[in-house]
Amino acid sequence: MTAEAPPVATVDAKSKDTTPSTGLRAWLSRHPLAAYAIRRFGLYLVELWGALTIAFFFFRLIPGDPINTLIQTLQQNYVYNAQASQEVISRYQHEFGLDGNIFSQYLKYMSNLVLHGDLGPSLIQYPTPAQDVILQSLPWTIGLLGISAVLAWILGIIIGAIAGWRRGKLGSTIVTNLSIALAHVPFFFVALILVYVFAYSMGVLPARSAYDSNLSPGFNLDFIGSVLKYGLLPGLSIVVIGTFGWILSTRMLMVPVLGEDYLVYAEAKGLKPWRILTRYALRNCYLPQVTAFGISLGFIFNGNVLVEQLFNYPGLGTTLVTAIRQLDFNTILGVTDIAIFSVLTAVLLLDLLLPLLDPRVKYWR
Amino acid sequence: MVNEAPRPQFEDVDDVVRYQLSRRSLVGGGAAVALSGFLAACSGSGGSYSDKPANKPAATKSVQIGKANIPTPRDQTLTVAQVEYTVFDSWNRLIPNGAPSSAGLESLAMESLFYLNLATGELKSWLATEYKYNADHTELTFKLNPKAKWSDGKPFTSKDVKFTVELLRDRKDLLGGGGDLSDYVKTVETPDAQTAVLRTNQPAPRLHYGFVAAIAAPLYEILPEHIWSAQDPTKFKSNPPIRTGPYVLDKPIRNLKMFVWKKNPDYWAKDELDPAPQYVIFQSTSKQADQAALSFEKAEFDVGSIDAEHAKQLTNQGYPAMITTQFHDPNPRVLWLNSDPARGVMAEPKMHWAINYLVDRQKIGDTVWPVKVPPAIYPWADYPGNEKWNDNQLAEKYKFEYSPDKAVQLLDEIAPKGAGGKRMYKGKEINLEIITPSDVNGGEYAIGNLLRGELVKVGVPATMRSLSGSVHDEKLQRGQYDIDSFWAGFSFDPQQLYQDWVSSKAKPVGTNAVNKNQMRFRDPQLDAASAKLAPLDPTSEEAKPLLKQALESYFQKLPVIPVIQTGYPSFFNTTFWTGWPTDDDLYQVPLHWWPHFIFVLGRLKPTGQKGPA
Repeated sequence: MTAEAPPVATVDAKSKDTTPSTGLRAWLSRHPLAAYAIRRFGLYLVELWGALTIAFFFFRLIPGDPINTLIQTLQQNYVYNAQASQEVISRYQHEFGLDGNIFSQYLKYMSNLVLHGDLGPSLIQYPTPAQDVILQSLPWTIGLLGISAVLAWILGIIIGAIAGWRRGKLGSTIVTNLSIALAHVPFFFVALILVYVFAYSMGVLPARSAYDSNLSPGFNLDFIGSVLKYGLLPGLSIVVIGTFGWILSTRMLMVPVLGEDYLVYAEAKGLKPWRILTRYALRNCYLPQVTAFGISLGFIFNGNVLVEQLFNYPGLGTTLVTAIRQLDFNTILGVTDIAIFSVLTAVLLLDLLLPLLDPRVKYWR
Repeated sequence: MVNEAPRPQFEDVDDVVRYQLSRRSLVGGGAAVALSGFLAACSGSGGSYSDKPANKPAATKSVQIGKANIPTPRDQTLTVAQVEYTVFDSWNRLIPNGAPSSAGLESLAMESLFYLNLATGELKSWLATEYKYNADHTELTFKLNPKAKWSDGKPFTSKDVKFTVELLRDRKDLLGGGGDLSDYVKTVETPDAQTAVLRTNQPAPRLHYGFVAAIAAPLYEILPEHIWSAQDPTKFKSNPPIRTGPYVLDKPIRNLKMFVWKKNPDYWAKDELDPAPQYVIFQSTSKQADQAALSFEKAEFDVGSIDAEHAKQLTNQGYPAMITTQFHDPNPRVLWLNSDPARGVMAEPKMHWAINYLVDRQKIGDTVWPVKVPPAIYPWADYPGNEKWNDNQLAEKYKFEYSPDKAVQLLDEIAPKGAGGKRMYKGKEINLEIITPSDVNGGEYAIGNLLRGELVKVGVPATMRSLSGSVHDEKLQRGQYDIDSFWAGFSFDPQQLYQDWVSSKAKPVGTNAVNKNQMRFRDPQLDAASAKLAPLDPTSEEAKPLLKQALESYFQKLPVIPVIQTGYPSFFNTTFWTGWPTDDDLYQVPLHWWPHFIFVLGRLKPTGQKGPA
C-alpha cells in the first residue's frame, strides 16, 4: 500500500494525525462511503431486531388463547360440533409456539425466523406454514396496491408540481381544491361509487374478483388482460385518492421553492420554463416525497383491507384481518415482519441512494 | 408550458401565504373540506340503503341480471355466497382450520347416518337404516344402508364406522376426539358389512346423538377407512375430499375464493335424491353490504350474503325475486350469570332472580332483535321436537316477568343500600361487569346494554363491554365476568345441558373451564338429578320426574337466564331456482351451511332463466 493522500479532501489535520495506515480502520478511513454503508447497515440490523422484538411482544400481549377462541368460534358457527379436550388445546399450543413463558416463546420464534426463515404454522390454514399463506396473497397485494401506489405517487408529483408552478391559475385552483376535497375520502367510498357506475349501471367493468373464472392463471395475454381488467376499478379507487394526497403535499413543497434565488438565476440564464420546473424547482422539493413514499411502502404490505374486501380481492389485507380475528399470531407477525422489513429496507436504500438523487447530500463528509 | 406569473425576486412570505391561503382558496378549501367530510360521513359500512318502508307500495320491477363470475353455466349452477375462505387444499375436519367451513363439504359432500330435521321434528335415516340400544343401554347397534358408497366407488361399510369410532376414541388430540367415545366405548364390533355394534363400559343412552346431523354437521363424521387408515390424521389433507354426498369437488379456485362442486354421476342415493343443479358454487363475496346486496339484486348469487336491512329495502322496492324464510337458531339468546362466590353478590340465587325481573323480554323481542322474535323461557329453542322437554306447570310457578319492583325487593334483601345510598353486599359496594362477544351494533350487546340500564335504575352500577372473540373467550372461560350476554348451547335433551353444569365441572375463577360450566354453578340438587338422568333414555317414564326435578333446580337458581328465541331469516333469489323452503312450507331447515341443505337442493327446480353471455 502506497502512502498516498486520502481521497477525501475534507479530512482535517487532527484526524490525519490519528488515522492508522493499515488495517480495517485505515481501509475504512480511506473509503468513507463504505464506512458509512457498513455503519448504516449495522444500524439497520439493530432497528430490524428492535422492531421485530417489539412486534412480537406487542401481539403476545393480546389477551386470549387462539386455540380456545377457534374452538369457541367453530362451535358458535355450528361448523363443527367441536368438542375439544385439554389435549387438543395443549397440543396446538405447542404446535403454534404458545407453550412456555413469553421469553422462551420469543427465543424459539426468533431462532426459527432468523436461522430457518420459518414463521411457524398458520392457524388460519393449519398446517400450512405462515410464510406460505402470506406468499399466496402477497403477489396480489403488490400487484394491486404496489402498482397503484407508484402510479398515484408519480401522478401526484407531476400534477402537484404543475399545480404549484401555475399557482393562482384557474386550473391549479381547481386541482388544489379538488385535492383538498378528495384526499381524505376513504378509498372504499370512491370504490363503491366506481362499482355502482361502471359495474352495475354501465356494466362495462367487473364488480369484484381478481380475474375471469374461465381462465387459468398463467403468463399469457388473456390472463394478464383479465387481471388488468378486474384490477382496474380497485386500482383506480386507490390511484384517484392517493394521487390527490400526493398533489397536495407536492404543491405545498413546491410553492416555497418558487421564491428561491436560483430559480430567478435560472430564468435569467434563459432556461426554458419546463427545464426550470423539472431540473431546478421540482428537484429541490421532491426529496421529502421520496422518503415519504419509502415509508408508505409499509402500508402497501398491510394491504388495503376495505378495498380488498369490497372487491373480494385475494390480497394480504384480508388475510391479515382473518388472522387477527382468529388470533393467528404466526401469520399476523409474518405480515408485520414483512412490513417492518420493507419499510426499514426501503429507508436504508433511500439513505444510500439519496446522494444520487440530490448532490447536496454526502453522508461521508 | 409557460408560467406567466411574475417571478418573485426573493422568497416573500406574504406572497407564499397569499398563494397558499388566499381568501378564495380558503373558502374553496373550506367548502371542499366540508364536502369531503360529508362524503366521508356517508361512507360508513351502513351503506346507502334505507330500511324505512316505502310510503306507497312499490311497483314490481324486473330483475336486471348481472354476469356472475363463475366458470359454469349459470342456469345449471346454484351459487352460494357468504363466507370468507382461507383454506383451499385441505378437507380434514379433525384439526383446527383443516377444512374450509361452509364451503360445501358439510352441505354437499359429507353425509350423516341420520338427519334430524329441526323444522319438522323428523328423524331421517340416511347412511344408516336404524339404530337400537340393548335394554341397559350398554350396546348401540347401527344398521347401515347397503346401497351407500363413497364417491370413489368403494362401499360404505361398518369398517368405516369402526375405524372412525376407534380413531376418535383413542385420539383425544383430534377435534371431536375423546369425549363420550373415550368415556364410554369399549369395543366396536362389525359382525357384517352393514352392522356396527358399539359396546360401552356403562349405560350410554345418548351415544347415538353424535351420529345425527341435527344442528350443522354431526359430531362424528364417518371417514373412509380405506383412505384414512394409512394417514396421520393430524397432517392428512384429504384433498380432494372423498365422501358419500351427491356432489364432488370439481375445483377450488383460491384466487377467486371459490369452490366449484359438480354432481356425482354415480351418487348412491340418486333414486331418492337427485338435485337439479349440475353445479353448486360456494364463493366469498364482498364484505361490503351495499356491494353484496347489489350482487344479490343482480341475481349473481342465489343465496347468501345479503343482510336483513338490505333485504327489507329490496322488498320495499318491489323486488320480485326474493323469498324470505324465518328459522329460529337452535340457541336462544341468554344471560350467563357467574355464580362463583368469588364474584360476591352474583353467587346469590336471589340476585339471579332480581336480574331476571329486569329483563324485558317483550321489548327485546319486538324491538332489539333485527326481526321480531318470541321470548325464551327455557334454555332451548322452541322447536316442535323440543316441546316434550317443556314443563308449563313449572314455568308458571317460576314465572318470568318484567318487574323492576320485584327486583328491588330482592335486592333490598340481599344488598340493601348503605349510608351513601349505594347497594352493599357483605360490606362491599356492588358493581357488575356485563360482557358480550357481539359488537356494539349486535343484538346481544343491545340486550346487555338494556339490562345495564335497568340495573343502574335499581341502584346497581354496571358496565357493558363488547369484547373481541379471543378476549371474550378468555374472560368467559376463566370466569372473569359477572354477566355474559351470549347464546345458550345446543342440546338434544336437557340432560346434555345439565351434565355440563354440574358442580364437578366448576373450575375456580382464573382457571380455564374448557367450555364446561363457565358460570361456575354449584348445586347439589341438580348434580343428583343429572347423575340419575345420565344412564336413562330421556324419553322414558323413569326420566320424567328427574327431568322435572332438574328443571325445578334450574328455575330456582337460574344460572342461565333465557331471553329471546333467535330468529335468523334466510334470503333466496328465485331468478334461476325455485322450490326453496318458505314460511308456509318449511319442509327443511333453510340454512345452506347445514348438511340438511342436500334435501333443499333435492327440491329445487330450474326456472329456465339463462345467464347473460
